[in-house]
Amino acid sequence: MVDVASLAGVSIKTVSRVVNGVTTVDAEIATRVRAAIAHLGFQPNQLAAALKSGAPTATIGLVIKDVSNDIYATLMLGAIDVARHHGTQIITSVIGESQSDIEELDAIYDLCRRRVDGLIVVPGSGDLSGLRSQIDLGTPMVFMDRRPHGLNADSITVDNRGGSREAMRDLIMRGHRRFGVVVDSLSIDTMSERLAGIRDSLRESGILVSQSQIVTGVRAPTDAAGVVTRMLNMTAPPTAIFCGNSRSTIGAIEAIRAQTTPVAIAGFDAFPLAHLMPVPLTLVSYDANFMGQRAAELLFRRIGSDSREPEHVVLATKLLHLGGSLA
Amino acid sequence: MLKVTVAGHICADLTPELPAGIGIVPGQLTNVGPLIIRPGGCVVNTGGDLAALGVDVTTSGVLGSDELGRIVLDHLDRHGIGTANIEVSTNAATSYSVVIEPPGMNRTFWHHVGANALFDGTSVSVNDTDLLHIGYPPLLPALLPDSGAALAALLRRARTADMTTSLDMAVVDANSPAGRADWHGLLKRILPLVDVFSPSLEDLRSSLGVQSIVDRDGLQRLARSLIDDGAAVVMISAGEDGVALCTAGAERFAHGGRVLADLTAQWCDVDLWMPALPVEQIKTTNGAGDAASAGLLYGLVAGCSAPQAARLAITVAAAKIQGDPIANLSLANPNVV
Repeated sequence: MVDVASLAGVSIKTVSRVVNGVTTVDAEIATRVRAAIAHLGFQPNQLAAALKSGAPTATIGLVIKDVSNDIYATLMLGAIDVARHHGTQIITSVIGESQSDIEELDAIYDLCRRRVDGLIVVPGSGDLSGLRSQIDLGTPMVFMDRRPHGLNADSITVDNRGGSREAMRDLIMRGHRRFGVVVDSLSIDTMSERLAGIRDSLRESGILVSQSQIVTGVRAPTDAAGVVTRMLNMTAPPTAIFCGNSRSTIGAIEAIRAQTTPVAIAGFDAFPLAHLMPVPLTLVSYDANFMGQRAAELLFRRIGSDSREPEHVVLATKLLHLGGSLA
Repeated sequence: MLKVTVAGHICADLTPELPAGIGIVPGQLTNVGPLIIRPGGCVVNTGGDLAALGVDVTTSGVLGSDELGRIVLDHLDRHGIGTANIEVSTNAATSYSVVIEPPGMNRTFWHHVGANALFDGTSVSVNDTDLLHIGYPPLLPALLPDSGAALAALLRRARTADMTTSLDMAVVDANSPAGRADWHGLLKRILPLVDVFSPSLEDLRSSLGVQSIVDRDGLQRLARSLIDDGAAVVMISAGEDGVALCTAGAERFAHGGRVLADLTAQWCDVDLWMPALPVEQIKTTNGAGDAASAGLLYGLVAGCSAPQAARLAITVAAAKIQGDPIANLSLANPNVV
């Protein structure tokens, strides 16, 4: 800015007034300043300006899980779309399922220190009550995919229990009685809710939950494939497998390729190319892009000083029948 | 109240507190939490639960002459459970299981049979006690040869003393000697000598190969078939689903020892399903089946009705799963349970 002032032969204050669009600057001087800016390639530092004035930084933080998982990538795109319309950029921090609660809090506080205008967080299972003071100090937060533990704040989640209940009812209606269930760690709320929905539908049909093969703590597709292979090698193997997320579904598809008898697969989350799979799939799907959008809209409402009670949006799911029959 | 002897399987569970996602990687050091040593097996679990419910309990089993054995004995003493019939052997180590239970994941066990292999039932006293509960034959290999001859001999001895006999099972490991036993033949031979039989569905799946039980109706049919095989009272527990309770006719109760003799009218010809109680927070599922057996046996020795006893079974099991002290259950008046 000093260089611009020197080249245009004006004071720094005048350059600042031109940059900030003050209309009372003499037109000839303003033209000279703009020419100097163009010549020197000067970019005003909006962040520094905002820090000095305490004004919004036009950035929001996003703390999200593994973005190589299509669901999280889609959530992120939804949020980005809304942020763009608010002239806001997103700073993203990826905190995987296996990272600690402390790492998650570190990432959130780091974004707060960068003076983001607000945060969208896909929370882990740790206690987040400590974030209350940050929210009260003026950094609003919206929680997406899961509700935060120990904190009443805006959230947008999916009807996990209802979705898996519906998928299981579908399998039971088609005559299945012997089930294998593969889910990630039950410390993840979405997983325990999905398992609760499975239990609901078994109980209402008089089928013994305890006789289903329920394996928890399964994360990678290869692990899911191993678990499903072991289930299918049992004396009385399941005739249908329910998977808690798309990674497990992909593992299950891999495992049943080697089977001669047909095994039905149902799972939570749609995923790319699911319709091209050589086996019939029943998938619990929801609009992840809409969830990302809605989270961002809730956040911008709070940034706009909305002081209503926290809102908890729960998105409905729908059942998709995809894939082909076994060759 | 009537007196109970719990005999057979006794061991210690060694449970290291593990972080989430732990695996076994050769050559790698992984930090874990403290080790919990918890005496277990039918003798400690069912015996301990009965004692906590206020029943006069004595025990019989075999421990090794080692530190683990001393820990188990000390535990029984501290809980007011009679140990006069516990044998301490220098010929085998105390039986133990290493329980691998990372958060949010299914459990894995590494089990050492140890001194339980020496239990043949001959040291069990049948004097001055009213009910003999034995568990678990699949983990007591000396009871099994010749279609369970040693087990049958123990049950006959108890019957001669007019005791009521009770039996609990365990999951049969297909790769162990017990996995090669003819469980159909063995149970047909001994069930006429067993008054109360309280296995889990898993125990029966693994021993009898009954793979087709997937719903409540199937479970109740299975319970009825075990009554047909000769037992007087059969309770099959199906984990988080609940228990099926089925009983024989009045004639069978007449040969059911001192405990059943007074209960014939309210217990004969029962066929009921009792759904498990919802559990808020699962602390452990270890010993839940033993707790259900203890609830049932308490109901019998306290003179409860069959539905009350089934209710007791699921109540004691739920308390065990939630980690609530069994002694705190208010069961003084079974009608309120």
